[in-house]
Amino acid sequence: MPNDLDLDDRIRSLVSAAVKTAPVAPHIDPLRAPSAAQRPPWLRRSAIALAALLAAGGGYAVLQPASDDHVDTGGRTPATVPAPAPEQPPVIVTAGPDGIVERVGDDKKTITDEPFAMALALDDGTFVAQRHTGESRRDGITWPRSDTSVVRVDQRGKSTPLFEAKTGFVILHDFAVVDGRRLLLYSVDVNNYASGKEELYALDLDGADHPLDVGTIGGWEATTSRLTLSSTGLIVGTSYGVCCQSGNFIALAVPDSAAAARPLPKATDFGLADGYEDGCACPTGFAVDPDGTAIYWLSPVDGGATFTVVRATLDDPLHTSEVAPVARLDSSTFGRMSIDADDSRFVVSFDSPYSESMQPPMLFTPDRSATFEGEFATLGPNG
Amino acid sequence: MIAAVAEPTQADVGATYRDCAADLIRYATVLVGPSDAQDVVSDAVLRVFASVKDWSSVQNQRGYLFRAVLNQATSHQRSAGRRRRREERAIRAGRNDAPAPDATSIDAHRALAELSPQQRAVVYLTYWEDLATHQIATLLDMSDGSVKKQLARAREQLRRILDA
Repeated sequence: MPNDLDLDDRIRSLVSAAVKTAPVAPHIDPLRAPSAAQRPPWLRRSAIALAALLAAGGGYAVLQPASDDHVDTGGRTPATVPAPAPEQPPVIVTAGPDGIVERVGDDKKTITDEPFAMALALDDGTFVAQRHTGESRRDGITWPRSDTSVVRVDQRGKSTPLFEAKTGFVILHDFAVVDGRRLLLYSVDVNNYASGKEELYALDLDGADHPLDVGTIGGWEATTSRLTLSSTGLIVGTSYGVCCQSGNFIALAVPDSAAAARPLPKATDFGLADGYEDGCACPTGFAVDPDGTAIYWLSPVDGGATFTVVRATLDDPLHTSEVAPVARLDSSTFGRMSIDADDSRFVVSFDSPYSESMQPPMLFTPDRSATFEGEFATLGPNG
Repeated sequence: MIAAVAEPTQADVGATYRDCAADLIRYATVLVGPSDAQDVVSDAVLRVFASVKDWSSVQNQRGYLFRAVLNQATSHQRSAGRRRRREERAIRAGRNDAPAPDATSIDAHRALAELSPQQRAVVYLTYWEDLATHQIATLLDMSDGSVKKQLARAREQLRRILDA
């Protein structure tokens, strides 16, 4: 196969050309690094003042997290005085009547001003989205938010069809890279009187002919919040009866993923109840972090007047910590909140495929909170 | 006097990192480009410091760091536009301590940017590290089939780019 050999040689040359531009490896000081036990995760990133200092002659970078937890005895070469580098700002994508907007720190880029109901950022700079078409009716049910066609939108706002479900309505949930597979998580709700069923699928965006069937997540009288997908294949969200505002913890796994090889987490692992009475101010908005190591949820405070974000790791599920306060919320919406969490930042959206748009999405970081225009917000992929 | 001693796990992670720092920075350079490679490596290793409680229980420590860098690269490189802005800022600030790229290197990074981060990882490990499929699968905690699939797609994509 001379052509293949030729291609291999050309790719080898290409990689070699890229590798030769590699900078010097950063020096990382374990003495000054925060440990897992020392800080709650949302403080971790803010406490890490990374220093990037280039030595004049050697092109040597010293990266050092600031920490007051250790005493430097002077027995080793002290790190060079750091020039603080800015923390990487969160990437937030909002979708709504004004289109799709990508925010990176203070940069705001309107990808398209065409109305969209939902947009998920992929790892290649494009988006998977659903248009906002206003009210539509199908099988006797009014669907106010989105249509059932899923499109890919590039950075210039150009959209191309991705797929369309013939048998029901598509609800987009999340995107993550799982075991090297770039998976789009979505459900198809075949909701009619004869056959009420909502099935969850994971579609490999790199060319799979058929999506993986993850399982049934709803039916005529049940549905879920937006489900979050981690890189381990663990899927977490909140399940609801259609009549009920109170939700329950739900966990699933992508077939053949690392999460599928282990027992799925349960609400009781985290000291929570299996289920809650309808209308109660109860834990809700369950989500998994991008790494699949921690679960987040919204926990009511003061009888539900205020909610706080709680985190627990899967390794130590009974050890919970409050990671961010949430502002006072309208109790009529809290049952449909969903969190997108990445260590120190949380986007809370007020999602429901069944009702008109609600409170705008909110971002929480350790040092600020903000409300966005639009209906639905998500963080960038895989954290 | 209280001696400042890194926790065992942190010191162990640090030792593992030192052993493969040169490989990791080359790997990150292929994944995200020279301007972001240092940030990606340091963020990934700091995440490992902060999240792993017992480094000795990690069976494939080198693989763990490679996966951490890949995860960080995937997160870091959110969009082409964002990357471009960072590259431009870095050039303006003159703080990219990588060797000045020549035209061939620029073309190489442009071509690699057309691949997904996972494809870039597999391409780097195949063509630079000369690892076999099962070795890459072990390193990245993927199945052999996934590695083959990613490599086949990457080769096809690169063939189109190189032939264009």
